Amino acid sequence: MNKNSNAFWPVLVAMLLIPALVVGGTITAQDDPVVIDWANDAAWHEAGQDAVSEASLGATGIGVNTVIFSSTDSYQAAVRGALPTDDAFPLFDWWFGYRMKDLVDAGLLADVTDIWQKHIDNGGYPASMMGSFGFDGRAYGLPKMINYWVVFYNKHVFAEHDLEVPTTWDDLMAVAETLSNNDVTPFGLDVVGCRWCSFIWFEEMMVRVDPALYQSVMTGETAYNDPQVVAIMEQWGALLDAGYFSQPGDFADNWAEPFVSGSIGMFLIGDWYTASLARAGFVAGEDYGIFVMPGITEAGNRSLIIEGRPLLLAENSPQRDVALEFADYFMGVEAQTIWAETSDINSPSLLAPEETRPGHLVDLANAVANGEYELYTRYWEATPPQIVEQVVDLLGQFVLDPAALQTVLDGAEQIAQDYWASAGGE
Amino acid sequence: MIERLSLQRRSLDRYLVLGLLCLFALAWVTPLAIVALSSMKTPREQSQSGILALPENAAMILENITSASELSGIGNGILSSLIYAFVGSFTAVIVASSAAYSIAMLKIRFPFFWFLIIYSGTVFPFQMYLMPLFQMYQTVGLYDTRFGMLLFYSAIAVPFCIFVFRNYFIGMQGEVIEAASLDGASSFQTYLRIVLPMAKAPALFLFVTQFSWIWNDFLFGQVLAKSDDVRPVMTSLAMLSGTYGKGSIPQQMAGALTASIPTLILFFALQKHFMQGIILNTAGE
Amino acid sequence: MQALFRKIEPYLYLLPALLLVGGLLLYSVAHTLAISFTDWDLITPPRFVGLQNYIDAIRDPTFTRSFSNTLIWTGGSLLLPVGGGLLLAVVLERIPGQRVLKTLIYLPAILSTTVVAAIWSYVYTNNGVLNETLRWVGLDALARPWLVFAPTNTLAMIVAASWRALGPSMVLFLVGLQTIPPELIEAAKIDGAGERLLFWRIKLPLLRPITAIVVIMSVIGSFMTFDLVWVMTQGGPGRSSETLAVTMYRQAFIMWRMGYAGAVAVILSTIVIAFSIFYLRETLKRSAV
Repeated sequence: MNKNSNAFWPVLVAMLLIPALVVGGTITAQDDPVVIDWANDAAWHEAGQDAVSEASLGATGIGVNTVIFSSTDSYQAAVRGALPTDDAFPLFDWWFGYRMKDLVDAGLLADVTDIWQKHIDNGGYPASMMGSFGFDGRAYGLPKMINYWVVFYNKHVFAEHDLEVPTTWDDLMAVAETLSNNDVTPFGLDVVGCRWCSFIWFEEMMVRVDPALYQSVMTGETAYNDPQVVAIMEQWGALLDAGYFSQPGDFADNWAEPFVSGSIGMFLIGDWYTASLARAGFVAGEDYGIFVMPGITEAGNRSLIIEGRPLLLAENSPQRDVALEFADYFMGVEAQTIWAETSDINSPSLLAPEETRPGHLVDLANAVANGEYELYTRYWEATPPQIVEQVVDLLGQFVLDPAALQTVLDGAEQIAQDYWASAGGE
Repeated sequence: MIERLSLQRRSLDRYLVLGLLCLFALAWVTPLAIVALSSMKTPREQSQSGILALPENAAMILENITSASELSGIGNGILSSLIYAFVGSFTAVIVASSAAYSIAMLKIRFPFFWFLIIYSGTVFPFQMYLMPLFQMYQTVGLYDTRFGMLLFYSAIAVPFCIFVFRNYFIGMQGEVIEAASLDGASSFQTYLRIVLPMAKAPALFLFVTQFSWIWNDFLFGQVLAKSDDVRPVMTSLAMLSGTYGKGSIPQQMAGALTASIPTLILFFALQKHFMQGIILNTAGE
Repeated sequence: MQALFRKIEPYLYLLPALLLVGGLLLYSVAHTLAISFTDWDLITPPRFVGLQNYIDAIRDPTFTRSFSNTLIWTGGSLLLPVGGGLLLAVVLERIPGQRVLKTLIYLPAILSTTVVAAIWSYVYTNNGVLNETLRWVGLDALARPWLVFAPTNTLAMIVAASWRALGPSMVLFLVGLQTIPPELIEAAKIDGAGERLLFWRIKLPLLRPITAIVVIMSVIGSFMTFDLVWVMTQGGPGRSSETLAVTMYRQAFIMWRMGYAGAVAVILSTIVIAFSIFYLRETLKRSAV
């Protein structure tokens, strides 16, 4: 028994060491070809990135190792936390517009203007696109995805009620009225499970009526409680009061379900919704289609909300130069073709073959390329996040209670003024 | 006669209680049924049939499990998580029981102070550990290592274990000192031969709860590690869910069910022991 | 030498725990405490701002709401998992088929919070399981949107959280009940004590060490309520279901104000530690009698 007692400390020490031994086995030597990390929060991109990596290894000797974070918040925390250090992820996905501005201002992003210039000269990208990925004529991000915000409609529901795709605002209202009379909710909108979704109809109503007004609210030139904004919001409020939207609490944490089941007829969302629908077994063209929401005014007819997902390069990463080399490859036709095909997305590259584009998005992509639409940045990125993050909660209150309109807009304006006042001093 | 009546009433009461309990149990398992039923459906069926509707083909669950594990690469995390959960909770139980033994039974100065110091590790919101640990791990080279993960999981489990052990030990102080002095045992012998065996029930209970905490963690696993063979199972599994996720609802549910099997087995295996451990002690007195 | 060892030895048992907890957890607490006096967005160096974060936090109108929601969580958790767990433990102790029931009640505890939140989102939708059941039994008036309006949304989430927390607390009480010497119960019965008296006079006082654990863990858990709320409502709609921990998380990982978040975390922990010291002192005093 005494043996036991003498054994205590050695046993304890050994126990604490076991994990160390376990680890010993997992440390592996670096492979010969250069493989750099590419972090993102979209698990469904993994297969596409792996495919690009394989092709890139062959073409440039550089591969990428995809690191997935499934929670967007902790993804941003890990990226931001490491960005000032040399542990920064060399490649990572981010949000464009104002969401990348603080990183640019802190000098944490590699300048990719030259790469853009080269590919614009090749005819790969429209010159106007670069502006969305940087500031003051310099670019700091590459276009990994470009998404447009359109209305998805359930073809079975439309067929059942003899409805056609609306081309004017009045048509759209007639469709909504018919659906509503037949116990189908015209528009899906969830502000309970999805905190930020409250901005979707705010931005859409604004650009459908007066896109210039939308932009001047975003830059702080026009107040949120300006009478023109109030009037537009009242129009949305009337639609809410008419019962054209799903009731708060209709949705569980699954946006595909009510659309697929046909309990809602239309869903205004980014075209990446395609992927969610595919996972629910819903087929584009067969089960659903898309259309751009008609304008309420003439000016609103040509508007289209755009969302960009940029690929950023960390300035402080020791692998920055390798990452730049990869970035050049990624913007080229070969990589774009593979990326679009494996991920079933619409490549932002003009040179990507048409057959790589998802069928239901081809017409839209062509229309955009032909300059048929004016593109407006999504609310999430069009104005500083410090404002957005608070205003979306207020807009959520408006959806629950349209009568609270004035309080909501006054509150939003207060938030905006506070921000612009403090930012103006810097 | 009166006696019999009251007996009857008593058994009526019993049936009433039993009936209520059954109703309660039924409501209780309904949410579990949602998981089970969903995991047996196709994605389209999930969207178009009622949430409690019976699946068209229950064998779909096998397909969902297979595709869930392929999509999430769940296999990579299972070994890591088993190591973290077993070694981590075992380390925590041993480390905590010895510390609680010192605090509750040995002569140290300011025992309550020492207790509070360690205990305060549990009253701080876990999310706030994220950034300091992330940056420290990168600086000292623990980032993305199994050892680093193990250290963290052991540490995070210690405060709660100490808390339970301390309360338990304070309750049995008298018996232990008595038994030990009869033996003439050293403090270590007392710990090993008397205290630990008597604390079998709380130790097993803690082992099970901490095991399932570590097993179910995905946040720290995601931030403190990046490679597939270091990240725990729940971090891989989480790739299925969310707007940006890879999986359908049935696949997520099938994945969740599969991933809860180890905790389930552990609970059934140890349940009897931690429910009975203490009866034996008190009976043996 | 021997004498010195004897003096130090008791502390050696403490050492591994202190190293683990101190090196990782308390280090992070100290780091956060220091940061709470600064303005820090993770990408630019922290700037010292004194007590400004604490002042901002307390002055923020949503702080009051978060605080009262947190108190609702605390009250609800003491009632449901703690009170309910005790009741179930006492009732189940003498019911046939208790093994099956115990196991059933414990089962949800093995699921992760994310899964629990996902399931209950389905239960609580407007046409979800709960509302459909209520309509089916004719209680239409009770059917409502559960997660939309305060304080219903907080109460609904407390029920979801309790579904998972009840099992472990019941098991702890069952463990506690079994430490009560049967002779004591027998003696009380011979003296003519009824079930009720037995519970209040014998069982409850003897359960005190266990009760202390369950109560404190429940209070801590309530103050740190985050995951479930974040998945189910993200503290909304319109911040109506925010708890202190959600406020903190929002400031840290949405607004990138690490200092502000640190201040909220420090306030939150101070409250819990103060409560713990007070409560532990009380229970210690009484069990010493």
